[in-house]
Amino acid sequence: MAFADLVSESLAGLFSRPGRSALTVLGTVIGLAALVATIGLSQTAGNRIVGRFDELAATEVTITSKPPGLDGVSNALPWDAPKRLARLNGVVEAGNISTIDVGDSLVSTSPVRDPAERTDFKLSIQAASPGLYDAVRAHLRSGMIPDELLSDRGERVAVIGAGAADRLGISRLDQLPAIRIGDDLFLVVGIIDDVARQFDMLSAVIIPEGTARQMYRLGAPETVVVETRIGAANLISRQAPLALRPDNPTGLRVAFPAEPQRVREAVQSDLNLLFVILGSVALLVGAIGIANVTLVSVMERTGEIGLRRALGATRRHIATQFLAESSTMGFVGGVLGGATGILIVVSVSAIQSWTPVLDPLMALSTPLIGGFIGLVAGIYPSMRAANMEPVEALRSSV
Amino acid sequence: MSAVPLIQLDEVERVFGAEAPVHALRGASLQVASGDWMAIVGPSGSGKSTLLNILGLLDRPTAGQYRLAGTDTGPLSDQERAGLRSSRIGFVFQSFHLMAHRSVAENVMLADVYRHGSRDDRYERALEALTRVRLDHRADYLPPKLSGGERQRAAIARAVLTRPGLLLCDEPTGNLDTATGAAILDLFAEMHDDGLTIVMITHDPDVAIRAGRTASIVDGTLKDAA
Repeated sequence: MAFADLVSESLAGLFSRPGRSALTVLGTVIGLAALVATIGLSQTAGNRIVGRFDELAATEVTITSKPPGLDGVSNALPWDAPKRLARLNGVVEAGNISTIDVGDSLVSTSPVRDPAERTDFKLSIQAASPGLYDAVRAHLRSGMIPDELLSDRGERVAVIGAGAADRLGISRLDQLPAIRIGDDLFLVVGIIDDVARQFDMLSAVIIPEGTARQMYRLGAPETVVVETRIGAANLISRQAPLALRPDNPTGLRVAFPAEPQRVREAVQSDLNLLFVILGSVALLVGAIGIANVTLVSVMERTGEIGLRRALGATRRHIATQFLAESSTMGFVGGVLGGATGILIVVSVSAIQSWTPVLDPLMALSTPLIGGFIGLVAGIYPSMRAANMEPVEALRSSV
Repeated sequence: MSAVPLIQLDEVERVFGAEAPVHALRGASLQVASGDWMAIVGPSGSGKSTLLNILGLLDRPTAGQYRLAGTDTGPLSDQERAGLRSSRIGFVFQSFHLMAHRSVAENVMLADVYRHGSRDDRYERALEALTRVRLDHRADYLPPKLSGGERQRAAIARAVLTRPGLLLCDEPTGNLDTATGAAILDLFAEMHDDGLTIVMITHDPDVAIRAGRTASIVDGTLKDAA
């Protein structure tokens, strides 16, 4: 049997039941499109995650004080920690942040906006030095950030995170909204809706550090957040304790960034496992579909198989034809599925303004993957067809 | 009769099943010379289809020897038997066995696929075979659009495309009315006159009478009448 005859006979077999062939191919298309789209979108999103993670991780140093030792020596951070750190080459911005213990005091708006609704909430109260907002890359939705003057004078002003603003029902600042923390009244001067670090700020009420010292007797800053230049984080993490507490540098705990390459590899490894699981499921579904339809086709074409045997086809000819048919279905499914998957990745990326990332080898190999799936799926039905006795097969009509 | 008969059966047995064996053929011996037209007559279940399957190399005897053109077919591999079927034997079936979704010409050309025939002039040769059975005007029709007689003509054209020496016919007029059946038998007569060897099984004595020789088979036992 010539190769050209094999191709034409296989195509004729597929086109003899075009609707069924199309539906079978559709199963493979969906499976492989899902695979390509999943991998593409994961790679695209992963690239963003990893890129963002790398950049943030590589430029962040946080410093906290260890609990006092047995000798009673204080490990407290100095109030002027941001200024001291600013002198170090490589520091972009630094700021203090501390959590204030206000006991059971609740936070409410003043005056109460809607008596029918709950008006007071348990919110985290934090104290921040002016430089902290830049160090965490806070984005101000409206209003202003309290400056050093307001902090030093202990003014009763507050910045609230977007989550806290939603709960308190504050969306505008032009009417000078005020809040109460327990019995203490604060003017809301700013709302922040995004931060790159210290995400709990978004659901907190943040008052100036100077105000916290005067009103709540804040003893020392709890944490210093430092934004460094890229590549300077490790150096800063070594220099910072000496700059802050030259008398007791070991009393401070410094969190420095993980090695970016290792972080990237860990994230990619997690994503790769996801790809393998999703891909396997998609391929299995496609393979079962092709195997099922090819087996049904073999049963329905028993008479045709008998005729072909009578006309001189060997068992190998019969097996090869059904394998070629199942492989062709897989191949066509791979071509269409790959194209659909790429289209999905590009479309979603365009809508999200992302840069689409997809391994070209993955996209180009989908026809081969599809063909291989079809080949494997066709093995059992082909064996069944090849092992039919011609005399038995001829008893069925064509 | 030539020195080497085209078909020679010697004491051929065919037994189905092991625990409760059924003897479909019992010691069948037969010689068919090249150019003969032979009818094998018998009632249903007499073993005539089994005999035709053995003659067409679709089945193997349990015992005995079958020589085709002097070649002992017993030791032949499946592949060699398939090769002989594609080149030396044509089949005509009672139910035509035409593929409904392929045109008449494509059905005829199928006979050439497993013979490694040239693709270049395959369509022309199919048209030639269809002309021989006077069906060339229906070459591009699909079989369901044809009458019963036309379908059997298409099946005969397919059987003779490769110019086999032997035509095996299994109740070729069984699904046709009397007039159409007679026309098909006229076609066989023409081909027989051209030198084709025909072995035809039938249960109808009126059909068998058109053949030059008749053998009968009853309960697996073959009796050559001429």
